[in-house]
Amino acid sequence: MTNHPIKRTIVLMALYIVIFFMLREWLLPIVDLTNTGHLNLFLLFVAICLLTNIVHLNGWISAVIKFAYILWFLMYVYTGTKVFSIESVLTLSSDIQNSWSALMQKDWNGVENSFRSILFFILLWMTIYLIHYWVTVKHTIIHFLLVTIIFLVLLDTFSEYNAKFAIIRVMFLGLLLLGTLHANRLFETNAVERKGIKYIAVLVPLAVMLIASTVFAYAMPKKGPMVTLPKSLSTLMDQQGKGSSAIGKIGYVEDDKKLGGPFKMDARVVFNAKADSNQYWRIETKDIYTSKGWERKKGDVYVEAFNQNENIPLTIKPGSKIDQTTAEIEMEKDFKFIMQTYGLMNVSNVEPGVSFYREIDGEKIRSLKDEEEIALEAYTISYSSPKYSLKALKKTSTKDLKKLSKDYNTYLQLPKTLPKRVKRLSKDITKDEKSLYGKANAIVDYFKYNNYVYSRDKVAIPGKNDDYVDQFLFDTKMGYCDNFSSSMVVMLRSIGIPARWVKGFSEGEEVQNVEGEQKEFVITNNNAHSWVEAYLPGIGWMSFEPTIGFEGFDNVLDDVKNQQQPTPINPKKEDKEEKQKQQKAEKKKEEKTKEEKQKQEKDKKQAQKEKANEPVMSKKSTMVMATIIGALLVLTLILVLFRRKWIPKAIIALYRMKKPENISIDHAYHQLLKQLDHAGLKKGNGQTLQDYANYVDERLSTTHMSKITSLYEQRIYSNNYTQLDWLEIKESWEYLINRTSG
Amino acid sequence: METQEKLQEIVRNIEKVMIGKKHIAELSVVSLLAQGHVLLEDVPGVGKTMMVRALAKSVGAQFKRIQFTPDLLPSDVLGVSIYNPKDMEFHFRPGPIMGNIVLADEINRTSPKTQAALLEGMEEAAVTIDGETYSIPKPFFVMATQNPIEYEGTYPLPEAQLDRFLLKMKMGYPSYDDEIEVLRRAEQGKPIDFLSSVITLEELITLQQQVKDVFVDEVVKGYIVDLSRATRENQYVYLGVSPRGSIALMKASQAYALLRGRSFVTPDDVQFLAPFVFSHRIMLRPEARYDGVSPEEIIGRILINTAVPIKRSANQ
Repeated sequence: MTNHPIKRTIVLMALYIVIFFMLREWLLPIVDLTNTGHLNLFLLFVAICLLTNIVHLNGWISAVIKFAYILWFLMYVYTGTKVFSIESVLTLSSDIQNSWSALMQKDWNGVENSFRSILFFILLWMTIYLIHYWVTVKHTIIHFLLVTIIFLVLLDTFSEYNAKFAIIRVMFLGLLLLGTLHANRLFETNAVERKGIKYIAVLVPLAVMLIASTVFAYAMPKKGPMVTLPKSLSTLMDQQGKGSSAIGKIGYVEDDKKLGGPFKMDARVVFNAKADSNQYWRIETKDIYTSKGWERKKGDVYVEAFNQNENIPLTIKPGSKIDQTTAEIEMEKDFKFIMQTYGLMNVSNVEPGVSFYREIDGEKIRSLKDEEEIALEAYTISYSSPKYSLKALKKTSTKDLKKLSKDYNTYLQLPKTLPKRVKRLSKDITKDEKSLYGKANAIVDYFKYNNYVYSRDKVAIPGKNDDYVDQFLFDTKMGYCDNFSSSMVVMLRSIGIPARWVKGFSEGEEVQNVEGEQKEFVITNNNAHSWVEAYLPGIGWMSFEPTIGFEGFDNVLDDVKNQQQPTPINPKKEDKEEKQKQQKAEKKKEEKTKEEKQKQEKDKKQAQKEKANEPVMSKKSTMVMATIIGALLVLTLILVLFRRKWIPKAIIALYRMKKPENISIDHAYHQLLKQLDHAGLKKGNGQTLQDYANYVDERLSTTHMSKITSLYEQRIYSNNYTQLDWLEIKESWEYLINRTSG
Repeated sequence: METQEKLQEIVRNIEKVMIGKKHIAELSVVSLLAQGHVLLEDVPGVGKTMMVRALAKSVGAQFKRIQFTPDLLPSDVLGVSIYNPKDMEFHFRPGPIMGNIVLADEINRTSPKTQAALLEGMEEAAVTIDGETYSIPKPFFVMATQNPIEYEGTYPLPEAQLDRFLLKMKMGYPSYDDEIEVLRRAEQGKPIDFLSSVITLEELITLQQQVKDVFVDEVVKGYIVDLSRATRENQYVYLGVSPRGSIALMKASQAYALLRGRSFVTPDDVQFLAPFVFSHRIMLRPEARYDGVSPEEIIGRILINTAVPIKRSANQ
């Protein structure tokens, strides 16, 4: 090479600095889009890798250094304990073990972040090695530059990452690299002594032209996107982009601090219930909305204890005694709390010694034995479903809200960051309704008639600056029960109606052919549900079902129907316009009730459909996506780099699959010529085949090529057209291709 | 293959006499088979005569030799009618050209008139004397030798007449080892005297017929034409190869293929023969001489740059 190792190192260093910045352009979008974080630490790794290459560090030593760095990174970022302590090593190793087993079971979501980071590091490492090879051996970087640009263009097109200037930067750096490497190659092949002055003579004009064109490129107006993506794809990408790496599993979980994201279906049975009619199974309520999810009120938990058969007072009172009935519950899962129906009175039929306590906030009823929480296998609950008088409900008014005691302030809490438009929207859609009940129903209806879509898998997770409810209401309009119920609670609160968020299970599926009066229901994890309770002064707490596709509560006694049906509500002082408006609205409502049923059915169907589609539409988290994209890129690179190795093998396999009589010998022979040409055995234009065959045979010290060639020559130059048997030349042909591809 | 064996036998026979000159022997056989004539260009004493005699002996042919001198007349070559006073008639006495294999030694030493007489005889395979045409017995093969033209007192052959020769070749001096071998054999007496014929004249004529049956594919014909055209387009060439030259190359290639035991011509045959067939058929521009480029070099370059057909012609 050259006599000046120091000079060479300096040149290499300059090149690697440029490469470092190109790699940075790779990392920037990845970090940006996948919420990966720790950009600087990744960049440091890149720098270390490049540096070890520059100083020609022994391979083993540099590997040890890199491994140590990766280890340090993992401990520093993931274990949260002291770096290199026994504890951190243990955490890490268990992480890796778990991830490995998850990987083996193809449970991509089960792979821990730390393990993903390891893979990512390895990918980086390989990439840098590849680049090193390109730069020092091949003296070209065009592949890397191309791949970088393709990567950026893809990201720019399919994600929210804006690569407008990144592409210009990469082009500048890439062309600089190309120019320098080309000069290098020229110097090397022509054995020119590398003097600094020569580099300057080459590089200065290059740099000047590049800078000029880059400045020009920066200054030029950029054309808009030429291709606009279909909406579904871009929303999907957005969700992928915004989301964290986890896919939730449906079912009851206590933690609701971070809502959102797609859900996996889970048809495992939670419990069976025998009851007169279908019921919503209530577990608890939550009060504090954090703009990302729900939390319990902080501070002490107050409880009240009860024995079995003792009446448990809840904030929603039981209905009339005549309606009193029981439900038998058989648990499949170990839940250490009671499934409540609306109008719950007491719990019975449990083993002696079991008692219950009710949490005052949240109203969760936990089961207890010997001062320890216990999961009951079966129990019976007595209840009487509450009924609300429509007459009374219509009388509720905003005036009553002012008289509310301060105790209800908890249920009016809203985060300060809640965007103003949520309140504006709530006011807007409820302003035509006088009664509080009407306002609440207006919100329920709003979801039904404004193109909100029930979906379990295309659900966004709010980003750092997003509000969960706001995002659903205005941006995505797509979600499942948590989106609908949380939104309704927030909307109710924003117009001053106390509300809380309720968790539990929906009715479940009715089991067929059950004898006796009671029906049996199977409740699975898929039935996990959330809904809304609002406090209406004069009425008390009342449940609402805002999620589209669900039937809701049958808890209103229509006692006004007969008297008030045709007459307008308040005919006296309204001016004409107002009247018309109201009539219009009412008419619309009538029409809508028809649509409503259709729509509900439709929604239900859709929900079912999504259930069916679920395993196909398995959603990949972004990290997995990024890893896959990266892996694909590397794979493509490897395929391109090693095409000389695998393409011949593929050709042989292809010919083996064909029937010998279908093989065109001419074609095969020319394939062989091509392969030999790729292998560096170039045939001169004016070289005869025999000549070439002798040359090839001499180089490979065989006689196969001459053998094939004389047969082929006979075929093309003679008038003796007897069909040449493929099998005659097959062996030699395969031998030559194999020989030159290895 | 029998034919090939016979032909190789002739080559071997010649090789017994001519040490290390296999390609010259082969080319001579090719020319003989293709019914063409050969121009040997070389200094005296490298064995030209020996070569021709060996060839003649191998095929059992009549060997005649004409030593060309400046004062040689056409009648000395073709023959003359002499008046016989006994029967009061002219009797034709055939000249040395009326042989099967004729060595025309130092052809450029004689006057153009005599040269023309020889060349005409070669072309027509017949001579016309005093209004009577006498055909020359077949096979008829002339091997003319010529001193390199730098020598004094020579009449260079006109370019148009060079065309009459199928091949032009140079013998060259033997290599060191070969020359020692030549000396060794010279000690034991003249090896030429011990040569016996390999084939008869009739067999030779059959072989000459076989040459015409050697198959030349369209792509190979195309290749030959490509080469000829390339000589016409070359920047150093004033006059390129004529279509007659293309025919000559094809015929020679056919003969060579037969010698190689093949029933079809390959581009290898064409490439091997092209320098010998073409080099005396092109006239160079003066620039070529300034640049020191010889016809052989030009043909070598053309061979390198002209694509060899490696696919079957489309109409098959």
